Amino acid sequence: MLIIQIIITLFGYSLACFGAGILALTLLIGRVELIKLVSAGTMLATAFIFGQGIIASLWLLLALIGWFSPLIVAGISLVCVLGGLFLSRPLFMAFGRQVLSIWRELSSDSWGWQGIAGLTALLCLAWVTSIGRPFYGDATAFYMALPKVIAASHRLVPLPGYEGYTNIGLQGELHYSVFMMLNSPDAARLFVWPTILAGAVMLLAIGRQVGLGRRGQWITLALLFTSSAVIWLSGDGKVDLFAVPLGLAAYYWIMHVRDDSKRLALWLTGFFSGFAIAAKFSYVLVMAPGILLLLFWGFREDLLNTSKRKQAFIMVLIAGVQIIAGLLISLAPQLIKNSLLYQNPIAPFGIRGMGWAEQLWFGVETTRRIVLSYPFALTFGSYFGQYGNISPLALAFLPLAILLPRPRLMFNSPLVAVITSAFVGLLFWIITQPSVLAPRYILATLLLLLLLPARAAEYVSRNDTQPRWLTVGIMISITVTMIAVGLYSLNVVFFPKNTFAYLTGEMNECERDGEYCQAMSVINHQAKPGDRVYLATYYRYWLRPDLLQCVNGTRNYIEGISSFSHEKRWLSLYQQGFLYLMADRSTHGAVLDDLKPESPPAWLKLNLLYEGGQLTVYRLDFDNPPTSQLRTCRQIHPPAWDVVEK
Amino acid sequence: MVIQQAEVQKRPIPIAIKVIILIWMFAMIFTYHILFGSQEFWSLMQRLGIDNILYQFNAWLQPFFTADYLS
Repeated sequence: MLIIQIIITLFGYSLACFGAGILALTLLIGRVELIKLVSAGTMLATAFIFGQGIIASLWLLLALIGWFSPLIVAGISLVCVLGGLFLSRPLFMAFGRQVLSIWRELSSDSWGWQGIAGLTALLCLAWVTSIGRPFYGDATAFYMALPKVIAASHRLVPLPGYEGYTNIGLQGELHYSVFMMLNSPDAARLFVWPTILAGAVMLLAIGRQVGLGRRGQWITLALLFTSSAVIWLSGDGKVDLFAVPLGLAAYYWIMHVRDDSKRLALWLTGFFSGFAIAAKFSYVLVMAPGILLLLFWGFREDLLNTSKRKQAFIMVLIAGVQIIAGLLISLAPQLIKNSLLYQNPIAPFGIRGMGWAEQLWFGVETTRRIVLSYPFALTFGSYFGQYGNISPLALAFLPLAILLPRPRLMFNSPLVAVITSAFVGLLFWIITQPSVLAPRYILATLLLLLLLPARAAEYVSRNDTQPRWLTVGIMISITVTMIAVGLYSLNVVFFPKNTFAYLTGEMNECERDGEYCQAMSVINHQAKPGDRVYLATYYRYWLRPDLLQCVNGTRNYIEGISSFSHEKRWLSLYQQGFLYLMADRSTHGAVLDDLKPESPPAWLKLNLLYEGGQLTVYRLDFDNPPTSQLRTCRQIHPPAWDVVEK
Repeated sequence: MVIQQAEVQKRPIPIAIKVIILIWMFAMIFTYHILFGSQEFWSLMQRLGIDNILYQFNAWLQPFFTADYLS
């Protein structure tokens, strides 16, 4: 049964990540301390997120040296699972007690809040139905195609066609590779689910730090799961969500720099910051100022005391060095990868035309409008590349903050500190990247800002005086928004019918995913191992892994060479060893126009294998061509395939 | 560990403030629905007979929050 395979794979690998985290934490602080420092749930989430960072880095190093084989991956995963389970028994028991206490607290609350908690849980569970979500977009171009190649070839090299893009951090992609190795791409797509759950736990833990009660935590969850910037990433194969828990964990642990867990907190802040930046480079801009502010805030009492100020500055400096050390350690695999593959450890920085820092999405007028309309643009915007919004509840509840009691010392309030650091991070982003309105690029920091409306809504709901209009308004707003977001996401993100049909075998992958899958299945069925396919498309995920390794790279493009006659273009394809041509007429129609398939050269016979709404596939049969073939695809280092001189 | 926040004494919330905040809350939720509302939302508005005016509001509002690449 497919569902059982998905559950076992997902649960097993999540356990491996958790185990890796527990083993690493035990090495850092010792076994006994694990259950003493923070709540069991927070420690479990910390371990899982930490393990994700560590294990992805390990896979990256193994893939770089070509050792990413099933035997090694299974061996390491097994050690992590067993070690983690052995070391964390008391933690699981404490977690059980914590869940029971949450349940008891919820049972004693009013039925209205119980209903809201139930709806939140339902919206969270709906992520499972993303298995039935048709697969298309960026993930089928790169984020899921690269893992397929890594799993099949046991190594990491730039993905043909996206050679320049492989320089990004590959945290999510390497996790996906393991699922591909286990032949469970559906579990790979679902892996963001436990990931965002761990992120949610970290957000709630920060919420606890800033004074959020249990009801406030439920409100925070409602805000999180009604943010389309979060739920649109469910099951779409993109990797933006992997940075979220890492970033939130860094924010959480920096708040512990003066606790008993100081030593661990500093290391973890560094590690999590590094992993988060590796997972999403854009986080560096928003997290760096925020983390720095929170570091100073941690030492505020000493810094404000003139007699201790000098010593406090030294302590901040030492703490900063420790954080940077952790950050560099966690970034090291990424730097090594880019040194080896691009001869530039800090790529994409320093590579002309490839740095995200050079992004410009809109002209001056639109950019001004975006900047002036923050935070409304985050909630109501549907700009190019935005890909989701922040919950309308955040805007709706924001004015409630004026009703929050003013802390006696504003500077001492953790809520003020966290919101200020997140706000400064956001401000830094708006100043440096004004035209890039993409919540997913800075999601961890944006989610921190949700804590203010959540805290305000909780406070008002508990302290509203007769007539309790605001409490009723808050409850209605949450309920209506959750139902609306659920309905809006139905058959956009959540596909319960498709999921059921897919899991019961009534629907196959291509019926779910559509034309691209069907067209590529035709090639997969006909092509021999290592045949070269010329892809005049962005998307490629469904091709067989051997074919994916042999497709055209950016150097083989025949598009845009205006001096070539159509016969010379066909000859170029032949010389480079291509036996199949697939073109997306909606995006690469010019390729077919230039090739003129209706009048091929005499030495070429074109066999139309597939023609659909937007895709055309030909098999190229050559008969006594004028020159010889120059390139072919071979297994030089099995099981990997390489394009080589013939 | 929870860091306790020092809070001053609670006072009743003035009715006027309550009304203003309530209007704001519903305005935000309603605006979101107008921009991203599901089929069910528009069916409901149609039954209430206000779908046309809301479509017009949508057509006026949408350009403030939409733009194509490099526009």
